[in-house]
Amino acid sequence: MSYVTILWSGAAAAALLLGIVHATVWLLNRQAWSNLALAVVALSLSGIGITELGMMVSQSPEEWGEWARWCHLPLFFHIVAIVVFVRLYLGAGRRWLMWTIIGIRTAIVIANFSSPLNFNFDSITSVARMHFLGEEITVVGQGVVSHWQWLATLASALLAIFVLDAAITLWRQRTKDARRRALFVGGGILLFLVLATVSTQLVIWGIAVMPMLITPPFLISLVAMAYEMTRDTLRAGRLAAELLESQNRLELAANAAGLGLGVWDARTLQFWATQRSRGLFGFEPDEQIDVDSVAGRIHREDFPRVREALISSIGTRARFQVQFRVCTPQSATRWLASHGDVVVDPHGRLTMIRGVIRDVSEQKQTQEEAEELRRELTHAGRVTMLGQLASALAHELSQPLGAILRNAEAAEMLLSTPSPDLVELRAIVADILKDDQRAGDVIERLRALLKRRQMQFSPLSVETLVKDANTLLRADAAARHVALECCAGDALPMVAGDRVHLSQVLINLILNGMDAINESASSRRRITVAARNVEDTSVEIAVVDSGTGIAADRLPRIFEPFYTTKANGMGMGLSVSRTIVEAHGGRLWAENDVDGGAIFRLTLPTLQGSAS
Amino acid sequence: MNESPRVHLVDDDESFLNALSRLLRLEGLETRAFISATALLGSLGPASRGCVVADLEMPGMTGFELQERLAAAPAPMPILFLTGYGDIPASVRAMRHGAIDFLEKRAPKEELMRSIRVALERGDQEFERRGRLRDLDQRFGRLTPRELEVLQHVVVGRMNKEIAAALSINERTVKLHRTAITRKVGVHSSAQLATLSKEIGLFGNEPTLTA
Repeated sequence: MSYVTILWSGAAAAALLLGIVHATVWLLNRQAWSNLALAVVALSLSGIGITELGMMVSQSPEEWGEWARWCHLPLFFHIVAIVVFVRLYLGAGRRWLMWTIIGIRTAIVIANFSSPLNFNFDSITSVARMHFLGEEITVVGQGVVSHWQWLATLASALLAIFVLDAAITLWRQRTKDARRRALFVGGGILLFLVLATVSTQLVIWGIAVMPMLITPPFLISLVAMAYEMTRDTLRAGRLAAELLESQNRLELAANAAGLGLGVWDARTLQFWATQRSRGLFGFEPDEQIDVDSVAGRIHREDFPRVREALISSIGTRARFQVQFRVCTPQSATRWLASHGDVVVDPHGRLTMIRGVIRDVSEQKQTQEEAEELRRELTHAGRVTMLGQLASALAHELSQPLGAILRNAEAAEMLLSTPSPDLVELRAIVADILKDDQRAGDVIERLRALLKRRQMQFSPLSVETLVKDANTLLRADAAARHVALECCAGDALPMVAGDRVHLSQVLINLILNGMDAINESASSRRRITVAARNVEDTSVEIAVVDSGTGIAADRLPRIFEPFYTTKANGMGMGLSVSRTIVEAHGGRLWAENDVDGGAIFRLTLPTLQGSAS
Repeated sequence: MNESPRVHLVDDDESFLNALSRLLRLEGLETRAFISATALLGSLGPASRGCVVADLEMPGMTGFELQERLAAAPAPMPILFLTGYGDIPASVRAMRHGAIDFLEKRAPKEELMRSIRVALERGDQEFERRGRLRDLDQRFGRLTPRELEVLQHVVVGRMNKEIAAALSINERTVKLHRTAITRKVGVHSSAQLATLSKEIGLFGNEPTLTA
């Protein structure tokens, strides 16, 4: 059997096949540079095998020398590819060593093709034939070794050092995977590199009469490398399976939580979305979706907000969070909340948007209902309070109207005299006009109180607020024999607030105080409203009554809705009042006065305080 | 010595106060305007006469408090309440405490003037009665303790003899006392003496208000 032909041809064919496989992998995934390196290692080894076989079957020294010359070409690629593979796949090896090795090998190739015979021999005088593995082959008989042969030896030594160094570096990483790679790939290359180098040196220096034996050991080191790479491929396959599994789990969890997932790839412009996401946007399970179709489902009013959120997220690299309405063809408008992040490449270009979406229609609806209820209650509270205020308002109106009537009667009498006093008449008319204006103001205030509306914040002086309450309640307090004292200095800072709502709160507190005094049957019947500055950041208004205070067990509950101690009370006054004050960024609380009455304190941030 | 009858107006609303003063002046009445009940009370003296027209709902001292303080003043005057709008319990209370009337601020002029005139008239009567009582007080005040003892028996219609026996004195002495009483008080008949002494509440009877 001529094993040499079979073995070397088989090795070349196997290396070729392996090379083609990895070259194909690289062609399909241009990022897989390790595969390309391995493909070059394999393909070049195939070339080495063929030229080696050529040497063994050559008939003359010239023919042998020619095959040996051509052998250097695949050998160059082989070694360069091994160096690159070690750098890429093991992630180790010194860069300067790599370039030195490549440099020397390049010089060897150039010298090889410019010399008369080949790099190793200046001349070969004879060839010998010997039996090797059941076949008669040609080996070098006698020849003159090139002066530059030491360069090849140096290159081989450097390569061995390079691989050894890389393997040690990897070994020191102490992970199981790194150590196995160091041992398998580094050790494999090193062992067979030494074998090949030694056998080659023996032949060249004529120490042993034997064929060049580069292919077999390199084939084994190639197998070691390919084995590692195959493991990687297998691991990739397993990871893919795990990824699919974890994706399924994620989707299961997301569905259970009512979450939809979606990813938009800015490079391929493709949307990937879970069924839940598609459902939320009203897409069919197999419908093609793109940016335009998704954007088309977002409510026109909300679209700028969504875009704004994404743009700001791209700018700041921060996560985005946005709520918007979608209009689907199947059902009514729903509210979606989305949060997620954007992936931006180093050049600041958007590459991907991924996000989670959730249907928040119900929450939104509940929220709106609560808001509506609050508005209703505020309104109801105001209406109830207006009932209490009716007498005060009637009195307020009766003053100017009474004055107008009496003035008109006086004018009538003056006019019936033979020579009416025009000066007096003019004074009367001026008074009538002034009182009419007063009556108009009362009506205006009543209308403002009745109007159901959202809060409108504007700069407001606390003095005005206290004055308003005082004007409205003065008569009522007098009728109930309560002394109402209001003191608010005009030096107080301005607050930002809604005049009508805050007046309502103050009036409510004062009316409560009067009720408390009525229940107490105390001889002191007094309510003091005082405003003061608190550290320039807020203004405190205290309403102090001379009642009997609030029982300790009731104190924590009085601000609860529908909690009341009054026979005809709705229990909304304090609750609504607190809502209003808190909407202004302030606080409202109650405490008992040391003198026995109750104190209601409310704080409002000042304009400066709320701005900072 | 005596002031002329005046309408004392009290209202915390200056505008209304001016208008009402103006009207009443044109109606020929003399008015004095006060911005608060305290101001009015501070200006009243024993010789003040007339009536008070007050706003029921005023800060500080309310109408009712004014009414109470006025009754205890040296020169009590009838009071007429004006209010923003009629409140039944308040009006009942006002009337029970002897207010002349309880009117809305925008009550018809005729009604207002009628009430004011009634109040003034009653004020005058009151003033005169007060003068008369003061006079009687003075007269009865001159009596000695013994004469008062005798008078106590006279007003219940006892004869001189009975009085002498009751007081263990001479009948002639009783006669002398009775002469002194007639001279000091200026009334002779025992029936008249009885009426007068009852009027000033001399023997435990409260002075009756002429209604």
